[in-house]
Amino acid sequence: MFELKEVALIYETKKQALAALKSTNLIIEQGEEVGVFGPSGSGKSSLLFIMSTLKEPSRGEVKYEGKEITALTPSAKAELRRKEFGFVFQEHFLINHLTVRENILVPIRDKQGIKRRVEEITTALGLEDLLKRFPYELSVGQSQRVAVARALIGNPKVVFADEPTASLDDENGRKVINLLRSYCSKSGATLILVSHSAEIIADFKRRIKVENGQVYEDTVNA
Amino acid sequence: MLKYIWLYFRRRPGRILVFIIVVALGVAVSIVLSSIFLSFGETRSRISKINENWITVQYLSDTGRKEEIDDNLKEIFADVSGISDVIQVDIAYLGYNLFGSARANFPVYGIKQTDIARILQVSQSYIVDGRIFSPKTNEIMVSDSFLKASGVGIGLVYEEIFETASRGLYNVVAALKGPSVFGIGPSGISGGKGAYGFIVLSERGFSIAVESELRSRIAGEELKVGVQGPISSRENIERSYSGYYLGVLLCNLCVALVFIIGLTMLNSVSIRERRKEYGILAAIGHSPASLGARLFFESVYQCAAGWIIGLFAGRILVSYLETRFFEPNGLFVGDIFVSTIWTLVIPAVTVVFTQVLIGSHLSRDLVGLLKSSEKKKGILKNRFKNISLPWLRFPLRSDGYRSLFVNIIVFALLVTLFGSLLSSLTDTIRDSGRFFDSCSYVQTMESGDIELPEEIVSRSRAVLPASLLNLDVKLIFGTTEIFIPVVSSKNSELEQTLVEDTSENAFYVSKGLFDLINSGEVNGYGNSSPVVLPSLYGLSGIVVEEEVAAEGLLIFHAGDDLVEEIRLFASEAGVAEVVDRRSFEAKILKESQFMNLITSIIIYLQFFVVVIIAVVTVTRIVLGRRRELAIRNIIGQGRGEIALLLFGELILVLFSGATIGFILGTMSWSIFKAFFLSGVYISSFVAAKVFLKIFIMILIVLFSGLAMERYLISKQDPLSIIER
Repeated sequence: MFELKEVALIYETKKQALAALKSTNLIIEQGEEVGVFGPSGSGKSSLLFIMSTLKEPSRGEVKYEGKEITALTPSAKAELRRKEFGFVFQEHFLINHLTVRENILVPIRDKQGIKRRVEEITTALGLEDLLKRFPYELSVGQSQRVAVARALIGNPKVVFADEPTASLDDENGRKVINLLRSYCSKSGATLILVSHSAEIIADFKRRIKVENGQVYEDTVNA
Repeated sequence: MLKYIWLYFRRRPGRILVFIIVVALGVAVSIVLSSIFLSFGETRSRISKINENWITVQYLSDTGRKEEIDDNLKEIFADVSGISDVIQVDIAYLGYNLFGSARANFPVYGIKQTDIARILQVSQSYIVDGRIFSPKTNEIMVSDSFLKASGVGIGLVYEEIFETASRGLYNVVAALKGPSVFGIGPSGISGGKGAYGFIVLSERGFSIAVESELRSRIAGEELKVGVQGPISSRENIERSYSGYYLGVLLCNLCVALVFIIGLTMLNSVSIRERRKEYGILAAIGHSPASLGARLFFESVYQCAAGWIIGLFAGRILVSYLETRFFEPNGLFVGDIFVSTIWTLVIPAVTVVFTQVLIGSHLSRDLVGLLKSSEKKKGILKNRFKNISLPWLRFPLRSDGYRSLFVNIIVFALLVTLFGSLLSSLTDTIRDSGRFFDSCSYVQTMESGDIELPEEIVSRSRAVLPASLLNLDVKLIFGTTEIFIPVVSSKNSELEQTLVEDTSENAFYVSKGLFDLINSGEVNGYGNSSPVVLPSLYGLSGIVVEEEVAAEGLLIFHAGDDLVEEIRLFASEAGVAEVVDRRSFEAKILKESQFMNLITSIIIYLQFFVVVIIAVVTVTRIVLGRRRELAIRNIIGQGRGEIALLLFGELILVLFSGATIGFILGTMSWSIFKAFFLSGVYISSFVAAKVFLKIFIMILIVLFSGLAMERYLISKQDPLSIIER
């Protein structure tokens, strides 16, 4: 599904070049559950952003389902994100003046049959009573669950999660991870989850360690 | 200090510039409006100033000079010491139109030709253009400002139509320039009906003493003679200024209010946005007092810069207007020093208000300040959260649109209200003149029959002996004079020309006039009860009486060429009064121009303020929603889609606001009209004009908003919010 060849991300300043991600080769298959971990500033988020088209690599190629995606136009990238990807971040990034329901529906263009889908997903996430509320009326845990609902509403093939538990307590964090994992295992979607702590992804089938911009397969669990 | 100002300016140049420009605009507008009002006062005072040069001793008479009074006065003059010379005069008064705000009468002294040079010398005036009048004619020399104001040139005949003090036709032969407004003509200028008396010149430094002496002596003789000199001149000047000072004050107060509210709103936004910054500064050890002082100086710098720029801009504008507006209207710009100082109110009050606002924010606890950035629960927010118009609910929930929405509503309301007011006024006066579309009224100066040339009689439909009834009608800000012909019911032609079923002693009026009479706004129509005649328009009417003491003729005609011939005949025959369509047009122009000016200023001011606020608001909306745009972009909405969304929201807010404002404006206009303006009606095309103004305004806001959106969205980087 994802194929990264010699991908690198280098920040060039006047004085020096800083490699956020050193030459990386990586293949991720459909339906895989991938945990990416490493210390802060190691380049794990850069890897996620490059795969999800939010950032362009300095060199190398990124193929998604056999197609090169780094050269796409901004609107084609946006379209790809909308149709194929779902995102959950450390912060919930909900739109403040929209209700929970409206927030969940932001990525949706085709409204056909959406009512049932919203019902389904909000029931699964325990949000059915919060649909008319505004983000500032929610707790952090609730907000993050809304963000998960928004990420999953379009039936994405890939779910990118960047430190989704960092601002949550343990219990809520576990809930969110379980939600994402159960969706992916049910629908056969790929989950790419980034975390600074190896604990959270301890039981992931595949784990990738990033350190100083270098990507290693972590085989301890395998 | 300079370094601090520079650092401060560099931090948020856009907002600071906008603030400075708005302050400058307020100050400039204030100065210009003041100068307009003050110019009316100054012009009036220049008319009075003539009595600082000499003392005028005068009495009124319908039958020419009265020798016994003249002899009495001459005896008195001989007794009073300090008099250097006495010149015999008679005085006519010409109406001086102060740009439609009011009329002032200025004197034209009838003197012997040999006295011209002395009067000019004493009044420090000189002939700029033209020649000296010829004796025993109706030739006069008048102040050049009067010529500009009345639109009359040298060599043209000035028709005094609306003044009752002196009716006649004057042939203007020269323009006078000097510090006073007055005119000189040959003896006999007042045509047997007017003021007679003497100009008394005093020796240097004695004028006040002479005036007091003359006053007491004349009062002792029990003569009905008026004395005007330096003392009364000063009183007059004070009186004429005081009214206009009130205007200046009220006008400046309105402008100041609009701008202070706008500026405080601008400030409150930036204060709110910077609360977190205050929190951080407070957390690292700034005391509220030192923070307050710092912010105080920030607003003082901004306001001072705006005030200075506004001062220069205002002065430049006034000097530009001097050649384009004041001079062509015969107005003199007075001393604008006091009103210039007054404009300090705008920056001063804004600084105070801002400080109060800052104080209210700084008094919050530190944690509150640090955390306050996201959740905003303004008064408006909850008002619009559940608005029953679903398409508006969406955009109005987001922050910036609400102020834009309210602004557009207010703008559309004001444009509709003022547009309706102005159009209805001009339309009503214009349509009142439609009565004279098919007839002209001519009246002689002295009682006696007018011999109409056979040529005119044969071509007119009817010639009726008639008189003219002058009615004073109270309309909005002042009193308007309208003319109602009075004709005899004995004329058989009347039935064919005007009223089909004539009954005697009836006062036929238009619906508008009928309403006004019923609400008691009309003076001078006597006891006759009015009857509505649907064929009459505007504020017009006709009185049909059994017997008419005819002072003139009402000539019914069909074509315009006859109107001109009647005018020509009237001017050649020395006829006192001609009322026809053209004189009505002139009247409309004069009566509505002041309203027009004030309305235009208010509308364009509002226009300008709304555009500035709208552009700032749209920028704020997009800037404030950068986060949202980034989120939308990350989860798959393209830039085009986002731009379209914002554009749609903007259109919805603008058009809904404008529609609501228009409806509210129409409603308030109807209410206002029903309570204060019966008789005035609104013509059909006012709506079109109002629509056009509102539409242009919306387009400007829309396109400036669109450009701003495009620019900001193109710079949007979706990752910025995550990486920040």
